[in-house]
This record gives sequence, structure tokens and C-alpha cells, in this order.
Amino acid sequence: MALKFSNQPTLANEIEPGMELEAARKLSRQRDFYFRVKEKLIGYGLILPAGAVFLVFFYIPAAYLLVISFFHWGILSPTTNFVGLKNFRTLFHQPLFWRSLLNSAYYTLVMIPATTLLALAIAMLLRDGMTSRRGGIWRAAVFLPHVTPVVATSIIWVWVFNPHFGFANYILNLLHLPALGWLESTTWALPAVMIDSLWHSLGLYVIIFLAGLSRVPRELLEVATLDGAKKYRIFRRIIWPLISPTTFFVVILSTVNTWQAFSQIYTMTGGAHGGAGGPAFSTTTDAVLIYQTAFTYLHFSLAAAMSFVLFFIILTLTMVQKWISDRIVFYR
Amino acid sequence: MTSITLESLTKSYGKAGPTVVDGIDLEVEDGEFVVLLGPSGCGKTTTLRMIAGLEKATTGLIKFGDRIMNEVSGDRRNVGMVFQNYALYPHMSVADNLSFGLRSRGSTKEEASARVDEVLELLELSALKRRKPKELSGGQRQRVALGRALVGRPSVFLMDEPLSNLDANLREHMRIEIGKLHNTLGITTIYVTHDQGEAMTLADRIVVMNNGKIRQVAKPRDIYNSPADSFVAKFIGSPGMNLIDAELRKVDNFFRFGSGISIPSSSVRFLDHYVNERVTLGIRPELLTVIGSEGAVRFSGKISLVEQMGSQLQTYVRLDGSDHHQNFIAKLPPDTPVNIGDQITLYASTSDLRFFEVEGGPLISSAAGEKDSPSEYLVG
Ligand SMILES: Nc1ncnc2c1ncn2[C@@H]1O[C@H](COP(=O)(O)OP(=O)(O)OP(=O)(O)O)[C@@H](O)[C@H]1O
Ligand SMILES: [Mg+2]
Repeated sequence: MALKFSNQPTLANEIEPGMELEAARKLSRQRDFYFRVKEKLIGYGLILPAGAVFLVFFYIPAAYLLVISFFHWGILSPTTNFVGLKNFRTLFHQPLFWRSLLNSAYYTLVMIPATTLLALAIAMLLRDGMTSRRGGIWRAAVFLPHVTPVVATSIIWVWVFNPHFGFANYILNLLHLPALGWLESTTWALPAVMIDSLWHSLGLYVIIFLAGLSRVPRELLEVATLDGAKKYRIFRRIIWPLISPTTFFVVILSTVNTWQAFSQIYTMTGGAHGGAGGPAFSTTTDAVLIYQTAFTYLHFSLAAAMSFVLFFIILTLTMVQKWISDRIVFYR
Repeated sequence: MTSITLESLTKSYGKAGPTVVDGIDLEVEDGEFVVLLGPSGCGKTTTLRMIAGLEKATTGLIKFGDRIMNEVSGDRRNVGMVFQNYALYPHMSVADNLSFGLRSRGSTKEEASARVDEVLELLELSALKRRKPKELSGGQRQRVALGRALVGRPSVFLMDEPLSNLDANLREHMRIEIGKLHNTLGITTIYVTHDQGEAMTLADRIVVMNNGKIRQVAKPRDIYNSPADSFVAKFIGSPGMNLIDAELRKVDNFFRFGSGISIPSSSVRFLDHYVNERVTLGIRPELLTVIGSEGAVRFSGKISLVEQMGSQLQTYVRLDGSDHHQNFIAKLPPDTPVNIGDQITLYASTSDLRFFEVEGGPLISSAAGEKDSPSEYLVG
């Protein structure tokens, strides 16, 4: 609008008194057209930088991914042949692929509820101190792990989970519990990674929950108190339904993030020595397998097909969650 | 049901924070309807919240009956409160909004639902039972909020500007409803408002507050007729009482007030103590007339503005010899011939005049003829 206004005087000047009415109208129509085009161009111009980044690093690779998943193509193979759905057929006959899906599902099914509930619990604890300075320090402390580099902190977690002199077993010892093999055990390797992931990602979700909680009107909680409701009932019947959009958002976000989890698994399970996903494939999730297929075995088209399956799984899960949420989430 | 007693109740926020409620003493009788009235920010809401237990008193006592309530938490005080913005649970139906409190306190589903139906019936809300708050009009929401506060049979009913979000017609309607409800149920009620109309019509007694202090507690008529001080005089009425500060002199049988106003001394003997001091004279705009009887006090001046109010003319007069730009307002009958710029003389009966010590000082009345500490109020 501002653009139009600033241009208006120029328009008026060019329509001279002697000019014929029809000609003046035509000029004005032409001008109008230019203004509209100009405004559109400026609009697109403004989203261009972000759009370009998205296009180059997201949409084009995604489309390319779909295309190469129908070809037989590796960096070492001399030819590139169209093979149709053969890559997908190969995948579905590979036990390791199913194993990786199972690992991913296990990882996700534990991580989503754990993330959501822990983040909400911490946010509830921090909520009361929202305005005080000490509240700010706690918030920063909780958020801090999220801004640290995953790879660097995961290396530290490897030490924490060292079976002989790690901090984790020290704690278990204090609690009179048996020591665990952690990253060397097929049972406990994935849980160890989960703990690292939780530590790293929780801060973000806590902040999101704090924002959601701050939007629950204080009077509602006060009225509920005067109504004689105890703390748990206020949480269950007032806070929980009112923050359900936030909870839904957190669930979606953590679903996407956990299915894609890679760096912490790769680092903690010995990716640096070429053996990520162990021991005995117990931590080979979808993402790890895709990486290895592409960059260890250099079978790009197979990896592309896997990525496409992963994309499809995440899309389906998100849609199911959306469908559920439409029935239980309360939007004001 | 219960009486409520506040003893030197004080609230300040933070350690060095301002004192927003400053030593309030008040007794509300069982079943009484008391209105807290005062300008914005004077501490009405804070007082109410302390009574409800939503805010802790800094010092002082809150008693329900003989029981000290300071340490009793809000959920145990059995108060029903209506908030200015209703604060209905947005995700619950009307019926659930009402039954939530009952169920919290351990009623069975059947008991709660029977009681809810009873209250919905009383408030003529039965047809809206299944609706969510956002599907209701402002007035309906207001009634649901009333219902929610009533359904638990509270012993104290607190309302914080419950009608301020409604339009004028609805406000009047709901005001009458609230009055009726109180007559039926007889619950001890404290009602906060800005609106003098509400205060005057609903209250058994009005509490006028300013700056965290109580200025006067009295029946509506007495607040209007004998304001305790010039703040109350100015605050009550719309517009409030005309107030003029001037020096009082005695000339023969008259008090001369400022340069132009003469008052027969026989009728206001209690002013004798204030001769040669400044005092504040007050007269209500609606008690001024254009035709005066023998012995009436005269106010002359020039008309600066006339507002047509329908039932009356609100006439602004610049009094002759008045040293400041203070407006003197008269409410005159609508057919009075007044024009801007005209000279006018207004009359008031001496019995309608009120006198106050200057600077917001207390009422000078015939009964309280003795001055306590005149020097405090002396000016220059
Ligand atoms: N949490 C708080 N911290 C500090 N000061 C506060 C707080 N709550 C209220 N106050 C102050 O206390 C004073 C009284 O507030 P209160 O809400 O009681 O006024 P009120 O009489 O209800 O006004 P209104 O008619 O505008 O609702 C105000 O000056 C306000 O700024
Ligand atoms: Mg208030």
C-alpha cells in the first residue's frame, strides 16, 4: 500500500489537462498494471532469499532423491539404469532394513512420550519462577544443552557410559544396582543414546511448553482454586486441556526429530572408527543405515529409496497424529 | 453465611514496594450487600483478592465470623467469586463450568447435576446448558459466571466489576437481576465497581476508597448527602459536587466567601471557628436553581458551556471573581433559557451547602463544631 501511495503523485502529474479522457484512462490503467506487477515483484523479491535456500537445499534434493531411487546408480558404477521399483523390492527383502525400522520405532516410541512428559514436568516446575531472576537462570540452564554441538557432547556421553570408570555406572553403584555394559551391550546401547538425546533436546521442548503454559489465563487457575480443586485436578482438568495445542506441537516436532536422529547415534556407537550402529546392529536405526548405505557402501539409489520410505513413515505418523489431535486438541 | 471483619488490613508488593491497601477496617454484617467504590488503582481488587485468599495480606486480620482466615487457603474459604472478564473454563460446557467446583468438593455426579440444574433454572440458563462459553453472548457468559460462583452455596459472594463488560441496557438488566438474587439468597456480598449507579442502587452500604484507604462507609443516601470529606463529595455524583476554595470573612450578619458569595450567618453558625481561614464550599449541581427564594445563597457568573443532556441542561459557569479556571456546574431544567456568554445567577438554599476543611479535609458540620487541629489545614 505504501508503495502505491508514494507513486500516486507521479501518476497525477503525467495526466495533463489537455490530454484526452480515453488516453488518460488508458495511461492510468497501464500505470495500475505496472503498480500491481511491481508490488508482486517486490513481494516475491522479499521471500526470494529464504525461498532460494529452501529450493536449493530442500526441494531440489528431495525431488532428486525420488528420481534416483528409481535408478541403479552408485558413485562407482559406470552406468545409470532405470530400474523401476527394484530398489524398493531389494529393500523389503533385506532383514537389516527391517531391523533398522524396528530400532527406529523402538527409539521413537520411547523418546516421544519421555520427551513430552519430562519437558512438561520441568516446564511446570519452572513456571512458578517465570518472573524472578532465579527462574531465568534455571531456564537458561535447562536450555543450554540444546545449543551445544551434538557431536561434541555425545563424545562426553561416551565417557559417561564407559562401563569401567564412567559416571553412569558410578551412580548405579551408589544406588546398589548392578553395573551395565551400556554402549557395549546390545540391550543398553540404544537406551544410552536415548539418555543423551533427551538431555540434548529437552531444553527446546521445555521452552515451548513454558510459552504454552504462560498462555493459560491466571484467573482460570484462581477460579479453579476457589472452586476447591486441588493441584492435580487443576492440572488434569484445566491446564492439560488448555495446553493441548502446545503438546500436539511438541509431539509432532519430537516425532520428526527422533526419526531423523543421527549424529548422537553415529558418534556414540563408534562412527569415528567406521562401526556405527553396533554392537550387532542394535543401534542401527533407519538414519544410520541410510548413511552407511550411501557413504560406506556407496549405493546411493538404494539409500535414496530408504530415505523415501523414511519420509513416507514420518508423513504417515504426522497425519495420524493430526487426525487424532483434531479430535482431542482444544483450540480457542 | 457469615459476617466479614477486616482489621487494619494492609497489602504491599515486594519488600520496599508501594502500599496498595493501607490499613483498612471494615465490618460487613451477615447477609449484607457492601459495595467498594473508588477510582482506578485505589486497591479495590486487591482487597477483594485478599478476602478470597488469592493474595496474602501483608499485615492485618481477615475474619469470617469469629474465625481468622489469613492462613486459610482460597480453596477452603468457601467464597464464590465473579471476575471482571468472567474467567469461564473455555473448554467446558456451561453445565460443566458449574459442576466443576461441586465435583472438586466431592459431590457425586447425580448430586452435582441436580444442583447445577437448579441454579441454571434460577438464572434462566437451562436452554444453554450444553453450550461452550464462546457460543454465548456477553450477558449469558456473565450469568454463567454468577451461576458458577453461586452453585457451591458460598458463604461469601465476591464480585469484581462484574458488569463492566456489558452494554448499558444489559448492565441495567443484570444489575436488577443481581439485586433480586441477593434478596432471594441473602448471601453476604462484597461488590466492586466504578459505577456509582450500581453502587447506589445495589448497596446496603457503600465503602468509598482512595489510595488504599477507606474514606467513608455509609448508606448510599448518606454518602450522597453528607460526604465525609471533599474527596467523597467530588467523587460521588455525576458530575460530583461543585467545590470552591476561598477565604471566609465575616461582614455584619453575613459570611463573605471569596469575593462574591454571601451566606446569612444565622444558618451556619458552626463556621464561626473558621473566620479568616480558607475553607472549601460544596454544592451539588442538581441543587442549584435559577429562581431563588428569600435568604438563598447566590452564585453569579458567566456561562461558558451548555451541554444538552436530554432531561436537563448541564451548564458550566465561570463564577465572577473566581481566581482559577475551575468549572462550576449546574443541572438546570431542559427549557431554561441559557446561552453561552450570558450572565447568570444561580441560587442554593443554605441547608444544601456543605463545608470542608481545605486540601481534602473533613466535613465541617454543625454537630462537629469544634475544630480538632485547625493549624494543620491553614493555608498561607
Ligand atoms: N502484582 C502487583 N505488583 C505490584 N503492584 C500491584 C500488583 N497488583 C496491583 N498492583 C498495584 O496496586 C494498586 C491497586 O490495584 P487494584 O487492582 O487493587 O486497583 P483497583 O482499585 O481494583 O483498580 P481498578 O478499578 O482499575 O480495577 C495499583 O496501583 C496497582 O498498580
Ligand atoms: Mg480492579
